[in-house]
Amino acid sequence: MVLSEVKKYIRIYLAFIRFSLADMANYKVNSFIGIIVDLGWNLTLIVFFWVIYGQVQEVAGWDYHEILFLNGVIIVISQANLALSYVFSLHRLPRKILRGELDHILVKPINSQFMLTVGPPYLAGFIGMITGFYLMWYGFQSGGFSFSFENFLLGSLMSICGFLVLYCLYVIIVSLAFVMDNRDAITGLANSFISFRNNPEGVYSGALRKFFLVIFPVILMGSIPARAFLYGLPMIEIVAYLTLTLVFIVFTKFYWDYMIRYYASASS
Amino acid sequence: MDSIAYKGETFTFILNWFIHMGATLVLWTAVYTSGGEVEGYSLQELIAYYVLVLFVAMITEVYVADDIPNEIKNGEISAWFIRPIGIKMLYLMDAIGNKLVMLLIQMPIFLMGFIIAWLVIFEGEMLPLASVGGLLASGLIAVLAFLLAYLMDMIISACAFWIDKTWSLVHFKNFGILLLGGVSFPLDFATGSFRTFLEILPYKFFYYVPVSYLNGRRDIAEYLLEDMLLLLVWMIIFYLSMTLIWRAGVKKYGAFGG
Repeated sequence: MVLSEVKKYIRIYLAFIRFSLADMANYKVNSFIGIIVDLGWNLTLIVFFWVIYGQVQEVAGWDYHEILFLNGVIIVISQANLALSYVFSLHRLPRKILRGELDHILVKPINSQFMLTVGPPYLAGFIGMITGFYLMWYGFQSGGFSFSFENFLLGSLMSICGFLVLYCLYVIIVSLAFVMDNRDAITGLANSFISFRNNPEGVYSGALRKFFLVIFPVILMGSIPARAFLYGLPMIEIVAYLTLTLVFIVFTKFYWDYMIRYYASASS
Repeated sequence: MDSIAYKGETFTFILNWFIHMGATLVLWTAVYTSGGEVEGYSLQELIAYYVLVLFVAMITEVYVADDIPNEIKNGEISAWFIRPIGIKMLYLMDAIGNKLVMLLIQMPIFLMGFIIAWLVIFEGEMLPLASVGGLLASGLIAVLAFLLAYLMDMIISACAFWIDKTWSLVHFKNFGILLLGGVSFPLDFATGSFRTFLEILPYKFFYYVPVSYLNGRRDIAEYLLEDMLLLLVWMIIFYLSMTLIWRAGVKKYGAFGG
């Protein structure tokens, strides 16, 4: 039963990929410009830190090589989010709610959260990940870090956790569109809050650190995976972050099911 | 009317700016932990810079390129070809009208934030602000930069005659302004050939130059004439580009509907 459900969703997702490939083929110029834009946004992050490190040697315990690596991790997670859920799904959701376009999706025998928040992938977004991988490699090499397979696995696991928490936070914030009139501004608000992940974790202390680690865990979307890749993590932190990710996934599921009840169709 | 009707959006716009600024300032606070100054900026002066960026943004930001491409795509633009007022002029008037109303709404909120920042961060001390001359120079550059931003948006909009989705070009403009206009950091922090490169580009007029006149870091006698000339050159280039691209676009345009 479960297996057949999984197969069903895999088949749907393969159809989504075919749709995205067709979209890319139809809008070649747009896709190309989209890739350049992604690279441009990544560049703004890199140049910002480049300028800062032109003035100081270290920020909150992170040197230039570590920051390059951190930026790389952030870009990879961010591009994965853009490609898998944001561009074609979460970004468009508030407008779809406003126009009452969810009716035909809600009547289908498919999970609404899957259809509306995962949806077709934005394939061009994966290309932007190259910048992130390059920065990770460059920061690692130039910083003279030694490779450890264990840290590599741990960093990858924490990056997946960071990606999942990022997805959950977007779903939680964007779902506010079900109950708020100010729908278009919601995605902008989500992006603004999430921009706090760009800073190295050391800049947050006291209550602010607790907030960004537990309540709104942006630190898990950059600094924690970067630290895991470079230095590894103590077991207690690994367990804590895995638990936190699981809590966010379960909470998001219940939250989505609750919020969607407020959807008011626009049809007569 | 739009601006008043969408009070929530205006509030969210301001909130977004403050959140972004918060994220940036947390980082700069860590940078300044070791004490001292960065390129002549103390932490307080840097905070004042970012607050003034918010103030200048209220004048220089334009969002015309969000609407016109849709009119081109849907064929709605056809009606404008036979009307006595062109779409370019209409959108300019609309942008100016919106700007004036938004200023009325945003200015009190901004001033409130500014006073709170003054009391909390500066503890009532004198703010690093310029003379009346600096205020006038800043205002003049900001108004011209608004027109420059409008021309830039019209060029992007005209690309909709060829490209189906112009949102990517809007992003292009936005990250250019963010990075090269002085939103992310004061351009004084850039050094060497990168700084020279930034000085030639038009982006600095959107934020950095008006803010620098406001905080008194840019000497009017030394720079104003030079800035005005460069700004006018860029406006002429943008105006000619817009005219040529629109003309070519209209020739290519095929109207929909009966």
